[in-house]
Amino acid sequence: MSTRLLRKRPARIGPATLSAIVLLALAVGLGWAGIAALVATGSAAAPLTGTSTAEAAGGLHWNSALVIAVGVVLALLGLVALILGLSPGARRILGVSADGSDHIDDFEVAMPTSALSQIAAAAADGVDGVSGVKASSNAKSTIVTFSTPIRDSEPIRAEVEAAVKDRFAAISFDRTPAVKVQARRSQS
Amino acid sequence: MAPTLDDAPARRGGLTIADKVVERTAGQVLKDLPGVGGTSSGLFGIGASSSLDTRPSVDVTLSGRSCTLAVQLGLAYPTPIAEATERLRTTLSAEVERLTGVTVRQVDISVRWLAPDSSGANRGRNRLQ
Amino acid sequence: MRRTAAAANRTGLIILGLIAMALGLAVLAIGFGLTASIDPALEAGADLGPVASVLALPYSALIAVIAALILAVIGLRWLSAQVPRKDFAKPFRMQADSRTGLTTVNAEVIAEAVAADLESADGVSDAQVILRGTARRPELLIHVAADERADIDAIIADTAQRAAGNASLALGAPLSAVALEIAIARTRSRRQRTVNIQ
Repeated sequence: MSTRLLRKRPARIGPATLSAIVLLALAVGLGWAGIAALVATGSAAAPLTGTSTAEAAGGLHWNSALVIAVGVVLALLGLVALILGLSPGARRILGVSADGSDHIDDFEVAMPTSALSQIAAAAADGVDGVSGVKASSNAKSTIVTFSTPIRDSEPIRAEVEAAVKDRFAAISFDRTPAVKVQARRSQS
Repeated sequence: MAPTLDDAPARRGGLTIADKVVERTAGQVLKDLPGVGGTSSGLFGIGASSSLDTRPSVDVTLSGRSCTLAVQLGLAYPTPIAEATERLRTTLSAEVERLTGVTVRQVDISVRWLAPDSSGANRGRNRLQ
Repeated sequence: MRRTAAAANRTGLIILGLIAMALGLAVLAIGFGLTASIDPALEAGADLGPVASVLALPYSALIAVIAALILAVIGLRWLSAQVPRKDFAKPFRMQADSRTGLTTVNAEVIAEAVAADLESADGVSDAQVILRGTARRPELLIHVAADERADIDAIIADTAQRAAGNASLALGAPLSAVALEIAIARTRSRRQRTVNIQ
């Protein structure tokens, strides 16, 4: 199998949906103006002018603030869209190595980065003295932030780090993610 | 030999086998096979349930003294589907022919569900843990 | 795990980005007087009259409506491409000889059985399976939600050995590809679990 079944990079569904909606809005605006002009004049040769916006636009100067602003916004949005289209984006899954079996020709296992965070948070949460945990991950590392009511948090920090690292070590990742643990004093 | 056989029923009087009879017979044969089940039709599909204890549904198309069967059934999982249905097809044709005297030309089988052998109990136990 | 329009999205974004950027830069170039040397009419102080006058041309309303329709079709198709598709395999034909009858199994039926089988494993709280390919070369796409503390490697091994073995037995062919994505099930809240006494 040459194509991978699991998608490694984001599919840009959000930006694509937004762009599609913008295109649709443009279509509605343009269609509305066109039909309005056609109906108003009652002839197929009707021009689009007569709308107040068209007239107002005709009166603007190229170096007016509004035109410059529109140019800047268009150029920036275009740049963002271009970058979103070209850049591969953050990896959303981590490879996990797995022995196949006689029943499978090609076995591919992966874990999304969100699962990594949840596993790390659960492992940290099991440590005594931890009152709350947050974890965030990318494909290479996980940052665990825990809160504790205890003033000297260093021993707990070490314990949390060991717990998370132990948990990760028990999973045969292709590349075990690095673990970084931060303590935050909780007021309670 | 052959002519006497052919003539025999005609002389004794006509024998008509209704679709329903073949259908019932086929259903009963299937029900008795292990690892084969059906779906009980609830009212308008509500309350329909699938189990290995239910009789599979069979549609019979009779044409003269031969028929084709269309069977909708469920199988125990895991079973080799191709082999199981092939075996089932042979058994079903043979049994229906033996019991009703109607030749079975084709058995179309549509597998509607696959379920673990002791479906309900097994799953419940695992869920509870 | 479902098929989405990743490639189409990126192509669309690149095209749209290039158009928007070109338009924006062109407006800026005129606005800052960079184009005055090319055409005196495109001077920074000039008004947008020439652009607006395009709209006064005959048939421009009709052209606008046609352009709107094209834009609407592109927009709608792009939008509908975002809906994830499962792309199950066509119903499998599994008979030995079609003259004695056909055996038909929907891919969903097998996928459901595999999912139920996976869910019976320890530490797996939910499984979703998509079956693609053909009866001879089946491909399984599996999404498993494991418990937070589940033994992930054990789940992988169980999938590879038991679940894949059962699927392959049922289908009568080795699985040509299996992709397994393991997520973590959101179960009990953190606070509840800390007071859990057993």
